[in-house]
Amino acid sequence: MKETIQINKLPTPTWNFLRVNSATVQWDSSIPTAEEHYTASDSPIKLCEGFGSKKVTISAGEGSTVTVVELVNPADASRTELDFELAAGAKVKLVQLLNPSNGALLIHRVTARLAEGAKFSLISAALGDGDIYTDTAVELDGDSSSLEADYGYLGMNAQKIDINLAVNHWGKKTESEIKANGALMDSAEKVFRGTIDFKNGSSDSVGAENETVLMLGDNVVNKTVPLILCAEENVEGSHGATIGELDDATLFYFESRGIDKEHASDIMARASVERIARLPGDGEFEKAVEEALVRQLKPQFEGDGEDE
Amino acid sequence: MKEKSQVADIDRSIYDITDVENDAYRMEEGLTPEIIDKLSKEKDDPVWMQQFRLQSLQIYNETPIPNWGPSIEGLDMAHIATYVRPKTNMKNDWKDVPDDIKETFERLGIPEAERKSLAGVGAQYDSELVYHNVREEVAAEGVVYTDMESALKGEYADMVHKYFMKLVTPHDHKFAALHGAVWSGGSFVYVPKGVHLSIPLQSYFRLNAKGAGQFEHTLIIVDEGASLHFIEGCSAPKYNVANLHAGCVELYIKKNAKLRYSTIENWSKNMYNLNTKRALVEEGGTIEWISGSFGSHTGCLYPMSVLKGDNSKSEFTGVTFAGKGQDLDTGAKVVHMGKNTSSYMNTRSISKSGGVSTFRSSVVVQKGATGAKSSVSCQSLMLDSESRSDTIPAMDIRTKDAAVGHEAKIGSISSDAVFYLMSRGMSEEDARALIVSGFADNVSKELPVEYAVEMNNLIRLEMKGSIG
Repeated sequence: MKETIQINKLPTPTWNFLRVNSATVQWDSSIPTAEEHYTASDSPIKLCEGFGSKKVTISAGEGSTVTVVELVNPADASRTELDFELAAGAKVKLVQLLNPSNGALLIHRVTARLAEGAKFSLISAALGDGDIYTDTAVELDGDSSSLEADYGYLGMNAQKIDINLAVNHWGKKTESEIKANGALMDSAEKVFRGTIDFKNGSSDSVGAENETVLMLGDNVVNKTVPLILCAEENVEGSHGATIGELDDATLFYFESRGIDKEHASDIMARASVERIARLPGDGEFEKAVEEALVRQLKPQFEGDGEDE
Repeated sequence: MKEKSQVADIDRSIYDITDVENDAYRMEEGLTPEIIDKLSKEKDDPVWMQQFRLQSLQIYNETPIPNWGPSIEGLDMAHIATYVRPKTNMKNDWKDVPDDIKETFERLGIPEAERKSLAGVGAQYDSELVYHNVREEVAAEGVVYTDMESALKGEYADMVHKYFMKLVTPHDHKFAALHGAVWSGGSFVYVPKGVHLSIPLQSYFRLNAKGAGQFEHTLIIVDEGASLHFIEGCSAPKYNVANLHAGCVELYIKKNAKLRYSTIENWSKNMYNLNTKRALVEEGGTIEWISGSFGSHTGCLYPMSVLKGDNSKSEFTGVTFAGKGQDLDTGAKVVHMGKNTSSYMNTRSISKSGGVSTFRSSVVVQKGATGAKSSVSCQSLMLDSESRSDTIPAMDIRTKDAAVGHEAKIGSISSDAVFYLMSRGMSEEDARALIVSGFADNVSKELPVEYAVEMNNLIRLEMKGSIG
């Protein structure tokens, strides 16, 4: 039974005419949800998800180092929820490829709760040809806990990529760094909501957020909503965003090497995701992203070959 | 752990003195079709305006309160008097204004500013203008500066009918609809083609009546190739019940024209300031907003620039200071429609003693707005951990041929900077006040010197009372 669900809510809403306060999707609630639980300590976890609904809980023990590689390649509607609990000093790296095919809807949610000194790292690549909705909520409960989030995306055709990330700084000396780099082609539409929330008591905390969006299609739509909410005096928060075509300096660099604007745009579009592929140093993930990129950009390169 | 010390607040008397209410007419509280009818009759509205008011009331009743922004639960429209007529009609010589009202404006420095540095002044007291005057040489150039009521019925009636609430329609939001229903007072300005006013016009709005609302309408048309600097000031004494300000400003900037619109807002801290300001900028035109928000209990103020014409420009420079008991939600909106348009926002916000300051912005670049450039910079200063400071910007970009940049920072006063100033003989309080004044210099350096001094005085006044 299809029902309308509201997801990716902005923690503090703004003007309704912007249509960024939340996203609305249709979900078949009759799909059963499978549940898995991992208690991890220094062991890698591989999650390969197709379609359906899945809920995974992962507990990272005190001082443990855990890498979770998640390859989400659904050909039909898919909904996944990952729930992390990080004990003191735990380090968790979540590496994910969100790559729906056949126009499949992909809904993904991550929650993480961090104790003292814990570190959570998220590396996320969004590709494919279906709509992607990803929502991440991180609670920096413990002092000196930290989040590092790095997103790369390539939106094509009429794809919608909707990213929501909220990090709550509760502990003292907590840190968050959020980066997003992506490219939009054809008539792709992307929303990026990033919220850094310094709660009262989170003194000496630092949060930074930055997004660069490359606009490469005539009908693309980009929405960027970077929030900083602050109830603590002694913190530092910053955000920045750059949105547009290739800048003149970059274009000059390419053209001085015989590469025209169109090819330069393709190279830069690939680069925003290839950077993500290489970050975790995981061969399987890198290969999966590269293959997805080749599939996604192949028709264009073939077209180029015929012209030559 | 930082030490905090306390210093008593200084006197705000020039803003807080309350005149004895000696109104000629005070509308009963509430908002009904009968009250709107009475208001129309009191003001001798033309028929179209009577109908417009009633339609606006209907829209008001059908429109929900916004589901975002600060709480306005303390505002009960059933207890707001929407119209209070002072005991005088409009004069064009201060000597003819009743003494108590004149003294209020004297204390606020309006007649003195008029003599020294203004091309014309309008002074509104509660719901009506009590004084309006424009220099002869300015009038001789064809500049029209009059009260809205005169414009509505006089030789500019057609112009008013053509432009009135066409840019901010009653459908815009609930309080725009309220304004459409109960507006009273305000100024009408027309600057003819090619006329450049070298000195500003100013309107000052004073709300003296307890539990009342002020709903003035400002309509400015700057014709092709003309330029104007318009200054708006406002204040009210503090009462223990809510007052409401829901004014509306509509600015039409024609081809290659330029308008600078400066505001120093210092409403009392029982005021709900739900004001709407919008500019429509045609080809090659420029709108510059300079905005200082210091007063009000709750404020929602986001001047909007619609860059309709090719090569049109907007600049917004603002500072907001939220102290104890204040929730000030301020910022700006811009819509890029024409080609090669540009916008720039540069704001500072300061939160102190439990004040809540929110910077909210929206930059929309429409699909056809190729060559658009937009830059937003906002900085926030937290002076203690009782306060809040939020930044909520949004960008909606629909053409690839645009360059949009945004940066924001939140932080506290550098203890090194305070130490440096104290080592040179300043008290800690003065050092912090100086740093905050410097932080807000994006606005003060854009204002005429008298207003910059007033703004810095307001900052010093707000900074008194807590250091650490």
